[in-house]
Amino acid sequence: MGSVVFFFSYFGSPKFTDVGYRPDQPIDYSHKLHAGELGMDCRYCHTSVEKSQEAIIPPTQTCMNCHKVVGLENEKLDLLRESWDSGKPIEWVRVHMLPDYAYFNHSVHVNANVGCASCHGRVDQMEKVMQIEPLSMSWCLDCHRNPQKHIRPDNIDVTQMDWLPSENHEEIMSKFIDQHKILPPEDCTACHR
Amino acid sequence: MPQIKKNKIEKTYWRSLQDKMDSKELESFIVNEFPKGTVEVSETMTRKKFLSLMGASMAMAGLVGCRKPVQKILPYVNAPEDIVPGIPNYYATTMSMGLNSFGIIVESHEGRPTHIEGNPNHASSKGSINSYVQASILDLYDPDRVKTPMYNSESSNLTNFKNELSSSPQDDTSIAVLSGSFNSPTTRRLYDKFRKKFPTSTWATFDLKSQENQISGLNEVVKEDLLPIYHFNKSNVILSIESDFLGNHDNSIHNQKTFSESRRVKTKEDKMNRLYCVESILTNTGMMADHRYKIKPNQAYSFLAELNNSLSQKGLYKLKKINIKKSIFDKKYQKFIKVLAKDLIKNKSKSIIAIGDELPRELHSLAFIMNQELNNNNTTITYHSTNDFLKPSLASTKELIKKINSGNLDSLYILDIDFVHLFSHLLTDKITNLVTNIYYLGSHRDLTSKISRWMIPKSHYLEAWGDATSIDGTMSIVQPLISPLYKSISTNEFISLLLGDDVSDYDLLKETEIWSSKSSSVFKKTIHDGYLKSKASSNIVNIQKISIKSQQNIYSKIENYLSNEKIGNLIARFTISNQVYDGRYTNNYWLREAPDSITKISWENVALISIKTAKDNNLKNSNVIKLKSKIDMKEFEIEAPVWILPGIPNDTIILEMGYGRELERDVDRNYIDEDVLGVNVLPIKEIGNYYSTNITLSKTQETHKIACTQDHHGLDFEKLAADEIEGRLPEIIRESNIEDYRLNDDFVLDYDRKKHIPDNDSDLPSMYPSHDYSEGPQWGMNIDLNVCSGCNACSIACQSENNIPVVGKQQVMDGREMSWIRMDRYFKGDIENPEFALQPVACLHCENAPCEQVCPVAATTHDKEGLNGMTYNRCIGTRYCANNCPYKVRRFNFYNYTYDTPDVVQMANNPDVSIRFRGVMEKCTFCVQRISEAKITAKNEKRDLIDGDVKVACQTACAMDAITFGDIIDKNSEVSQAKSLSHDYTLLKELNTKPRTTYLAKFRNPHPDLVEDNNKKGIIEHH
Repeated sequence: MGSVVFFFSYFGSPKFTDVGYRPDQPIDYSHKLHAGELGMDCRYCHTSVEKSQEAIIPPTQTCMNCHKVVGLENEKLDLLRESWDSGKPIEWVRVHMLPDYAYFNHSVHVNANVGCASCHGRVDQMEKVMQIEPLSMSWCLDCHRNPQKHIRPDNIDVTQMDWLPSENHEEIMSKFIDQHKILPPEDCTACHR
Repeated sequence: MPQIKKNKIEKTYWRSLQDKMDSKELESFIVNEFPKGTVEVSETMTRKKFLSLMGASMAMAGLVGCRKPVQKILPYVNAPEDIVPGIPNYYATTMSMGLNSFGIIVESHEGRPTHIEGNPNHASSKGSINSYVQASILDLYDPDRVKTPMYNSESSNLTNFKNELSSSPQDDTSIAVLSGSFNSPTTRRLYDKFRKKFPTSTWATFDLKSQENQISGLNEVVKEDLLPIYHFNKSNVILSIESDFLGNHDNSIHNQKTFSESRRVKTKEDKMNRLYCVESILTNTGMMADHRYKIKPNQAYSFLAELNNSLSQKGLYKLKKINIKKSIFDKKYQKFIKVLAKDLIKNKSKSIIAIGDELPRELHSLAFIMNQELNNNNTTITYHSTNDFLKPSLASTKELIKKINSGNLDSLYILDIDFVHLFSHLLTDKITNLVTNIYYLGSHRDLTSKISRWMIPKSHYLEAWGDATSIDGTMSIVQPLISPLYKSISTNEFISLLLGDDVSDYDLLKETEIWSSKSSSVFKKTIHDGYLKSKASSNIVNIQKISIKSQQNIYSKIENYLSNEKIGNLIARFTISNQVYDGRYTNNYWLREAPDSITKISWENVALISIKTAKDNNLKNSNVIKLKSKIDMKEFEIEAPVWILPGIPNDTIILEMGYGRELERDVDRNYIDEDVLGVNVLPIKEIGNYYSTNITLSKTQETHKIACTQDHHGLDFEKLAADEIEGRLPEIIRESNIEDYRLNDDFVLDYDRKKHIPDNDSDLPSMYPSHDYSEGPQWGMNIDLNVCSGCNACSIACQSENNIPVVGKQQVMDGREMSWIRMDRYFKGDIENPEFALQPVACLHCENAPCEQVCPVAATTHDKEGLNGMTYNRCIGTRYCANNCPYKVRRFNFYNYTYDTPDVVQMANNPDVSIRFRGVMEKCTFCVQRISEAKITAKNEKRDLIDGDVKVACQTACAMDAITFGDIIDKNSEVSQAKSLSHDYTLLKELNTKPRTTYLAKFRNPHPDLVEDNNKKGIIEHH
């Protein structure tokens, strides 16, 4: 009986089923090239992350901003050009999924200075986007109950992927949190509507 | 089955006749939370066996093919500038209904309109809406809408239609158009163009609910076509004669807003208006009245004549006395008329006599004269020009029918009127034999579309450009929220095609003089604001006093009627439905399922009769009766199920029009079938008369079950071990006469005190530790019963905002309706002449919630801000919470009510709220999605929440402003101020649930001379 419980609690938990999910995308887009080597800011493409609950996948138009002139002979971009010409959207595969009944809002986290890397990992080093963190409710609550671990000081941008916390980080952040009244909700109604 | 103690005390409040008689049938509804479905599904598979089987198979299941489901994200190709996915946009537009239009603001998610609210800056809505406007969004997404133009019921296209129109030469006299009334300047311009191009054609304007008598009655006296607007906020005394101005009225939103202003009582020094209502049906206005008297429909003449004479006698000497042979009213009624006259005169220039639209024109003229002598005209009643409107005309409709019957008509163009439903009984032959070609602009495949040569789909107002004028003259633009979903065109485009032009509705709008004369910035601003800011917009006409002596013909007509009146025994009285209006909302399931606020019946119409009439004819609820009438030598008959309603006059059968429209549907939804078709009552109605005399009634052997919700989810206070006190003081509805309140302003606590409940509910003992609510925001709500008219707008707003499913008639009969707000209607007192009380109840968000204490899986929890939250994915469906809830506000998804929701209807869903699956409990959440949105916006802007940031759906919908919501920690917030009033009370306080929603007691303002009589209303003597 115990082994059955262990079996389901381990293999059924998001740590096993979701972490490491690295699906193939229709276009082999490399964040390592664009965000890492070229140094593009996350928000150039994921534009609504500071305003809305969703940090959208950029429209084909955003890619065409450069790729109208760059990589015109690259066959990897054939699908992109096809989408632009035909008006049909590219069907990206979603990597970070939350169930429909859980409502997550990006803007309130970004505005509270939670770094992109805290939840999405080092995307700027990924050739193919992979889910690093389980995004389970217990994982979210770990931070909500202890926000000083993951919130960045004021002067550090959320999109700075290589930032690491300093030694007395939590001490400084406790003051910051009190000052800015950052109160991550721990009630069910925060996310379950 | 627990033993029920039989209570010997006469109940003060009762919800239905069965309730009053303590019927056995009702017991099962009250004792069992879920009266049906509490039996095991079948003998062979019990729940226990099922679980044990599942446990065994669980080990084997789950390993086969568990691949992570692939979800795709499809971004835009060319992203539109103003859409940020996840943030809704709000656009102003206008909805027209007949001669009035309402400014609205529509919430749009990624280009899909999802929710409608009122435009605070538009004079005819002032930020609120009514149930029709709220539900109109569902019509946009109606899957049964006609999608392509149809040629002889086969799919075709617009090009073919345009070609046919342009190629066929028309002889003027053989063309006719039938439309409803219009208030749009562009449509008027096109109409004028049409009349100029085809001068001998016929254009008939028909409204089932028509203002024609109102307009012509006023024209008789002031020689101008006008409509009145009532300013109830300026009046102390209001008399309504068959005028449901708070309910089914063209200007109901404005009426509700202004009426509630003078009705609302905050302190004992506040004044309160007094409403007298004299009617032959039961309406929301009648339920609100302090004095309500019944008349039979034809007795409006007698009543007004006697009132006129009484007013003349008591001081308005200029009024001419009307010759009445013998009063039909008994002494008590005559006393009422005298007191009423005195009260009106005492409140000269601060009173209103409102008269129902349907009443004959001479009575409208008489009401105008009485208002004039009471100095009400231009003060509490303003009159507004209707020159630019296309007004309804019964004469033109009769002429059209005559022309059709003569067989001389070649082409008939019908603009969104179900001709067959309304008029087929007036034709001498099948219409296809009388008219060669019928062209129909409509939205559903109804009987009219079946006989049409061409049926062109009509664009919904949310898909089309246009303009509108409201009765007070405010002009506004109708802007589309979404491209037409189907191959439809708007009314303006259709008329333009008839004129031989092919112009888009945007261009048609811009060509109209009022818009072409404006600069582009003014035009854009008008679209943005939702109305045209202009002094010239006001169409008020200053009425000069008329000489009564010159109005002899009005008096002659009235005296003529009174002396020659000959009516039979039974009268059929026809009303506009609160659900389908004139039939246009037949396929709008939010409106169909929302229980009618008067009868609490959903889905269908019934023949309403009084208790005595039922007894006389040996009728019970659900018996089907046959009604026969003779009109113009022809006999017509209909069959309708009977429903007994206390408070309506005897020998009167009240019939709601608009039902019985047969529609062909594209999508088969499991709850729509012939059973809810309803009865088309129009065959026995004489066109233009709102009642039919010479009706004969016969009982048939059949019965027809009716879905009536009045006894569901009963708060039966007997079971709460209350004793004899309950007979003396009502507990759920607390009310008082306003004069008693002035002497004893904490009367609401009297009941609690008698039961030794402490005034301060924090002193009540509890087993559970209380939460810490010292830090804001703490959400609370207050509902003012004094102004609630029971119109159901809140309930439909909640359904729109929270994706509440429609369950169908059978489920409603089983008590499983899903609406989160339950509008309770209580009768009070005497069976023959009851008083009424209305109370909307939704989850009260108790601080000591009994539901939270019994949930085995903690699916319902309390949050820091006082909300009782619901986590749908945790719920396993034990339904213990609903059982424990003393207010019976929890709703369970017994079936997967959304499994067959067509894709297009899913577009109406609010993406910020989960869709609930089978087996999950749901209830009012205080619009937690709106609270979250406001909190997040405040956090992002680095500021605190302020009062008014969060407005819940029911609160914004309510035109009476009965609902206030906000932070109770903030002492200056609206809701805190409401809760601090002396007549604020808690429902079922002795249970120590500490609900966050409290109620303000209801007041009645009877005239002191009529107070004892209030319980024994006057009766009308029969001839």
